[in-house]
Amino acid sequence: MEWDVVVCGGGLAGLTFALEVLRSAPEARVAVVERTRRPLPEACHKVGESSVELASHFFGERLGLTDYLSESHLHKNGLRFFSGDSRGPLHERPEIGPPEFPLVPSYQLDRGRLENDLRARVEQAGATLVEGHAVTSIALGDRGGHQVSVDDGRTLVGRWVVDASGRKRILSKQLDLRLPSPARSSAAWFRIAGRVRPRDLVPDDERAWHQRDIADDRWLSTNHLMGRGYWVWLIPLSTGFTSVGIVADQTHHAIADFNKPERARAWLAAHEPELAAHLEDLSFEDFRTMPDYSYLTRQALSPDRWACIGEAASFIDPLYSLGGDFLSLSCCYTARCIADDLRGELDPEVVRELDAIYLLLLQDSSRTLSRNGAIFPHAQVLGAKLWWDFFNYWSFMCAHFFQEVWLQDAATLKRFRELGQRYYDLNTTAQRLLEAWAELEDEPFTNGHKKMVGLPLPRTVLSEAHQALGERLDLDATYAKMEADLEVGRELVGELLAHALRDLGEAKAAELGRRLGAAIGGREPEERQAGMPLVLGERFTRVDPLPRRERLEAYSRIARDLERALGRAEGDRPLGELLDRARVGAGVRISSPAPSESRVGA
Amino acid sequence: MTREEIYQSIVEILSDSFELDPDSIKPESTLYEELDLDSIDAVDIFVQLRDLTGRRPDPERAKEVRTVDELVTFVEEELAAAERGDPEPDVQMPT
Ligand SMILES: Cc1cc2nc3c(=O)[nH]c(=O)nc-3n(C[C@H](O)[C@H](O)[C@H](O)COP(=O)(O)OP(=O)(O)OC[C@H]3O[C@@H](n4cnc5c(N)ncnc54)[C@H](O)[C@@H]3O)c2cc1C
Repeated sequence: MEWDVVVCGGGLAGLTFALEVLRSAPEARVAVVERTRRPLPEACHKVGESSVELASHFFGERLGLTDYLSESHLHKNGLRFFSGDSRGPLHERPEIGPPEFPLVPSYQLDRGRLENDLRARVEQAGATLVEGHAVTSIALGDRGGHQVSVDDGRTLVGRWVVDASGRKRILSKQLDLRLPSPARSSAAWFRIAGRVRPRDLVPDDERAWHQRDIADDRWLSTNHLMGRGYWVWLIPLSTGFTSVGIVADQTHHAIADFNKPERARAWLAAHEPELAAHLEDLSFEDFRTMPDYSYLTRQALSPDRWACIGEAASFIDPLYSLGGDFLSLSCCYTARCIADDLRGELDPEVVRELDAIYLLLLQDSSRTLSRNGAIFPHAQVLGAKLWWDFFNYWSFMCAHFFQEVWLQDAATLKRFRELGQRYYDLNTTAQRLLEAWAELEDEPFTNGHKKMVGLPLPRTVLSEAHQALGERLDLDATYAKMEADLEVGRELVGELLAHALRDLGEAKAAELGRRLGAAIGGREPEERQAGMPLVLGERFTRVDPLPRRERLEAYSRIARDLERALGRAEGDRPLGELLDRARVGAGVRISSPAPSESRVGA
Repeated sequence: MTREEIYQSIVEILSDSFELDPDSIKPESTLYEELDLDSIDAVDIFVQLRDLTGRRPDPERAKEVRTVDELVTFVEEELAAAERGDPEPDVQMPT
């Protein structure tokens, strides 16, 4: 056979995948067929510029590109969100983001520059790049190998075939792998020459707001302006440009309202007037749209030696910049199987397990990233969501990747996947709670209790979960930590219920309970997937009414951390009573409904 | 910023963050005994003080602050240091 792997498409997925294969199997014969030729344009090449921890770890640490990324792209100051009144001044909007530059690195990538440079590196590493030619068809074979036809009439025969054609999804279409996504959103984006920084929208005399950003590096974050059913990104690029994007849930905003440059400007003037005013005199270097961009997949990796990687497999949503993460997972899982195969050690069970963990993580993130448009303008709820989502992401998905669990044998992979399933169950409960909380708010937006919510706040469970990514643990320690973190996660989500109940108060507690159902001991609402029940102990009854110092002493660590980060809502009734109402709403029989002295046990 | 303005801002931070009655806060109140704060509260206070000073405080000096009045003096000195352009202490805050 001519090739060990034929890669169809040489975008970010195809190129980083080729590097990873050659890193783990230097003798591998790799061909990458890519339709376009160099030089690719800088700044205005592709969308997908913000990377987060997992993808940054793959590109930087595994592929050894840390120095390159630091020199030719930008170190990123985490994810930063502005919630509250989107029509009001930016400095009055509650800010949620890192108060200090994160120690675990991530990058803002100029995609044109990156792909130019990666193509050169892929060739240096020993792969053959067939540039300027398109794959016209893939014929999957069995032992004889797979045949990839190219538009110049050639046929490349590969032991493995890997589809990296992005949204062309050559194999996925052929095998009918696409699954619909619960996220129904559309996007429009454009680049501006020069910087568009949050500080450009805030008057100089708002000193407190400016001074809070000690190192003047807010602009290096992926900045998110959050409104009902939408968000707008601001991403700085190393080439001096700024990428700006509008992402909107179709149930709240029709794409026809922002799918042309002048419509996008008018839409921004209506929803984000300060940004629109700042952009007024600046021209758009490009303008692109993508309606209904989200899709999942039935399968990504097969023991029959084919795989779909990057967007050829799936794309959920740009919020949290997880596109690059799923791209990294699919690249690494596939490359591992190929390296095993070339050593004569391919275990089909490993392939099935890696596919299953990919699909589980996809399902989990897709739960996190859909149906959440009502949350964005409510700072309190958004802050709560971000704390949980980041905890969940760092504790399981990132730890699984950073600690190289995915390089283990099939039995180990299965054991970790079963633990991952429990994280997913808890996430289901958490998302249901967060959605219900936001939907039950009376006002169109709320400011919460803090001008600035640290994400992560220093010296908290969350900042430790983040830092732990930089520490290498052995397999048993990794498993034990994930299990322990799951229990902390349960406490965390229980705390979110306490915050939600105090915030919504007596009038809404029963309805919140009805929507939570079995999570708080009641009946499962119809058509709802089971989640994980919460622990509702003394913290709700005896502890909550105590004076501050005594309360803090009785709190778990995460309870205190969340109160530090999010503040504490007034609460019109004692928390124990609000919980009783919620449980009655959920269908729990309580001997005397909602008495002020009632006790609800664990 | 005058001393009085700094004092008012500090009272606001303390009462908003720690469920304290503003009237119970006096210049001579001790943070850790009378106001019943602890070291984690102190971390949170010093993070919020950045809005006033625009600087990372020196943790060694911050530890010496005992009363509300000393906190006011601390902020005054930080503002003066900012004015002079003194370098910040070289401390890596945990993320
Ligand atoms: C609105 C939006 C915002 C996003 N924001 C982010 C973000 O901030 N961070 C993030 O990580 N991700 C983000 N993403 C996702 C990101 O765009 C993708 O993860 C990434 O670009 C996918 O890379 P890829 O290599 O799979 O696909 P692509 O980069 O599209 O590469 C596919 C390649 O295949 C080639 N090709 C196609 N057909 C053929 C053929 N027949 N023969 C040969 N070659 C072919 C193409 O020329 C192309 O180079 C976003 C996506 C959207 C829609």
